[in-house]
Amino acid sequence: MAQAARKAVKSASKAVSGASGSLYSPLTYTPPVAIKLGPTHASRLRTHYENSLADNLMYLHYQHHDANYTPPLPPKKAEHDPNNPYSIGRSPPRPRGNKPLRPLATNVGGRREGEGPSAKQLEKSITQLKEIQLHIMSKDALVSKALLLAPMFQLRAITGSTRHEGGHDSSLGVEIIRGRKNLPQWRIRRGVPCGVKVTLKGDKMYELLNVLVEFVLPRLREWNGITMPAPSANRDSPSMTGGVVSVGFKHEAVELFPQIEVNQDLYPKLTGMHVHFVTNERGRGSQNKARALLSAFQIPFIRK
Amino acid sequence: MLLELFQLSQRCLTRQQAFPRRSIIHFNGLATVAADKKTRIVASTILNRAPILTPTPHPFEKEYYAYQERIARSISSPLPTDVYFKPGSLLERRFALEERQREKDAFGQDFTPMIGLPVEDVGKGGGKSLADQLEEEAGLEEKPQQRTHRADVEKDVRSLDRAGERNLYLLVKKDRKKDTWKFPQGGVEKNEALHKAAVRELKEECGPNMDVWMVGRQPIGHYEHPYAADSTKSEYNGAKVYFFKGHILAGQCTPDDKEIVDFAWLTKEEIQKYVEPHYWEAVKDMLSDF
Amino acid sequence: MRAALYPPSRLDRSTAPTGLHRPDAPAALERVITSREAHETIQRAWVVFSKAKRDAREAELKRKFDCMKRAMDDLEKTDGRLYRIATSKPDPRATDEETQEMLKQYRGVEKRAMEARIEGLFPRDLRIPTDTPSRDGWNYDWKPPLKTSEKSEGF
Repeated sequence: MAQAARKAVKSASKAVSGASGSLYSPLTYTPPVAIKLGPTHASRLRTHYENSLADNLMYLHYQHHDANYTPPLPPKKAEHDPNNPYSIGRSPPRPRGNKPLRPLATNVGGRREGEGPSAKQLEKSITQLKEIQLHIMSKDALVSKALLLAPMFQLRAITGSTRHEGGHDSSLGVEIIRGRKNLPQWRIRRGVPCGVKVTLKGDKMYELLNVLVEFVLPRLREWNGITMPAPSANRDSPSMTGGVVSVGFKHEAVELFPQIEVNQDLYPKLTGMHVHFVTNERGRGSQNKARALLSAFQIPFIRK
Repeated sequence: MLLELFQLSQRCLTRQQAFPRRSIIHFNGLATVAADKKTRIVASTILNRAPILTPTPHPFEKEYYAYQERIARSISSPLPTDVYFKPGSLLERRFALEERQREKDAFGQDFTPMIGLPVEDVGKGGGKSLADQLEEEAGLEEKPQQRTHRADVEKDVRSLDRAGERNLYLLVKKDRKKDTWKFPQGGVEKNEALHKAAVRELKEECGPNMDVWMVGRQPIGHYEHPYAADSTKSEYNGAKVYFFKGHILAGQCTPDDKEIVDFAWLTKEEIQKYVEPHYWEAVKDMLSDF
Repeated sequence: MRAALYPPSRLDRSTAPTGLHRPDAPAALERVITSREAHETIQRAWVVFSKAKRDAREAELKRKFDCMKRAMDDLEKTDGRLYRIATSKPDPRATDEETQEMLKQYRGVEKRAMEARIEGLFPRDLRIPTDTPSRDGWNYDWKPPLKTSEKSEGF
C-alpha cells in the first residue's frame, strides 16, 4: 500500500530540479537497461483463480452438444450485387429483420467440434477477468476544466496507476474522457472534457479487486450486493451479451478505500464512480458467466 | 438427386421384413437404451476441501520478487510523509525508522538515500525512547497463526486443517476385503437427477453435518466396470459410476458405521496409496495435482 | 493538486497525469541492476519458469476437460433423461419451481441463508486463501439450518 501510494501521489516540493543541487535531468537520463517492471509479489487473487476457480468455472459453463450438432452461423449480411440493375443507384440494403448484430456465444473449449481444443485454447476459453474500468463523470467539469483535477486525484489514489508505469506501454493511467457528441440537454459538447477513467489489467486489477472486496464492500451500509437483472430481461441486449458486470458506488463507498481513508482531508470533493468488470466472455449468457466469476471473488449478488 | 430418391424408395419397398422386431420397439430418438444389458447407474461425489493457505513460493520466485521490488523502489517517488502522517507522531517516526532500514537493505549499507525522511531527533526531553514505545506496541499486536497446523505434525488424516496449501479429497472406507477405499457413491433412484443423487448418497453415507456446494450439474468423469459373476447385485452385469465435484465449506464427515466405517481427507498422491490400481486409473485425471 | 498531478519536469506532453522518479534514481538503479547481462538472464529465467508453471496448469485443465467430455459422451448414450438434466443450465437470475418449494419450508434467518445460495453462482463461504490460517481454524460444528417443521416450540 505504501508502495502504491509512493507511486501515486507526487508532491511538488520534491521536484527533481530543486532540493540539494540538480542530480540528474530526467529529460536526458537513460537507464542502463530498458526497464519493464515485473511482479513484486505473488498475486493472491490471481493464484486463487488459477488453482481453484478455473476448473470449477470450466465444469459450470461447459456446454456439451450432441454428435450431430452444428454451431449456429453468424447472421448473413445482406448482399449488394452491383450487376443487378435494381441495385444500381440504390444504397446497399439493411440487414434482414432490422436486428443489430450481436456477438456469437462462446463455449468452454472453443467452438470447433473436431479433435477438441488444445490446452492453450481451453485455458483461454474459460471465463477470466480481463480488466477493471473505473469511471467518473463530472458535470461540473463541463463548466470548468480545472474541476476535473479532484476526480483525477481520487482515481490516482485508489488505483496508483500512472501512464506507462514501470515501462509498460499498455497502461495509460488516468485518462480524460471528452464528449463524443453534442447533447445540449446535458450541456455536453464534442471534444469538451467531462470525465475521467482508468483501466486496470493484470496484477493491479487483482489488487484493486482485493481492496474492494476486503475493505470497501463489507463496510458499505445498506448494501447487500449487486442486483441482477430480472429473469424477463431481454437476453440479447448489449448489456447481457457483452460479458461486463457494471456497478455504481456513491462517495460514501469511495471514502472506505484505505488509500483515501488514511487522510481524507487531502480529497476535498469525493465523487461516486462506476466500476466495470470486463471478462473475456461474449454472446448470449455471457453476463451470467461474468457474474459467476465475480461471485467466486466474494462479490455478493442479489435477485431483484 | 431425384434418381437417388427413387432408388431409395425402391429399396425400402423391397426390404419391409428385413428389420428385426426388437430394434423397432426400442428406437426412441438420440439416446437408445439397449434392452438386454442392465447396467447400474451410480452417482459418486468427489468432495474437495479447497486450499486455505496461499502456496509457498519457490525460492527463485522469492528472489525474483525481491529483485523487482528493489527496481521498483529505485524508480518510484518517495512517500510524502507530511501528507500521510501527523508531524512528530509515533507512527511517522516508526515509518522513518523502518524505511531507512528498507533503503539500506535494498541498496546497501553504505547508500545514503535522498528521499526526504524526517530526521530522528535524539534526546527529546521526557517520555520514553522510540525503541521502548515500539516494543510496547508490538506486545499489543495480535500475532498471526503458524502455517503448519497440529494436524500436519500428528498426520491426522481425518482433520480438515491439515495441508492448508493443498486440495484435500474425501475418501470413505467400506467394510469389505476388496475395493475398501473409494469416493462416496450410491445408486440413482427412479426419476432422480444424477447430481441430486450424488448429494443424497453423500449425506446418507457421511452424515448431514457438512455444508456442501456442488459444482454444476455435469459429471466430471465416469468409470464403467463389470460386476463379478458371483456378486450380490445379480440383476446387473456391471455399473457405470458418474463422478460429481463438490466443495465442503464447513462441518465434518460423520460415518454411519453401517456402509461406511472410516473416512480420510487426502491429497492426490495419498489417494493413490489407499485405492485399488484400477480405480486410481479412472479417477486420477479428475484430481488436482496441487 | 495540479502540480502534484502534472509536475513541471515531466517527460511527455500527454494529458494523462504522470509520476516522478526519486532524485537519486540513477545511483539507486546502478546498485540494483549491476549489469545488462545479469538483468537479461534473470528476466529470461523468469519467463522460462513461468512458462513451465503455465504449461503444467494448462495440461491439468485439459486432462480434466477430456475426462468430463468422455463422461458426457457416455451419459448421452446411456440415458437421455439424465443427459438432458445434466446439460441444462440454471439461470441465476430466476428461481425455478423446485427451489421455490424447498424455500417454503424455511423461515427467517434460515430462509435468508438458503436464499443466499444461488445455483449458478459460487457461495460466499468458499473463501480466498490467506497467508496464515484463521485463529479458530476449520468450523467442525456446522449444523444444517432447521426447517420450520423441525424447530421446537418456543423459539
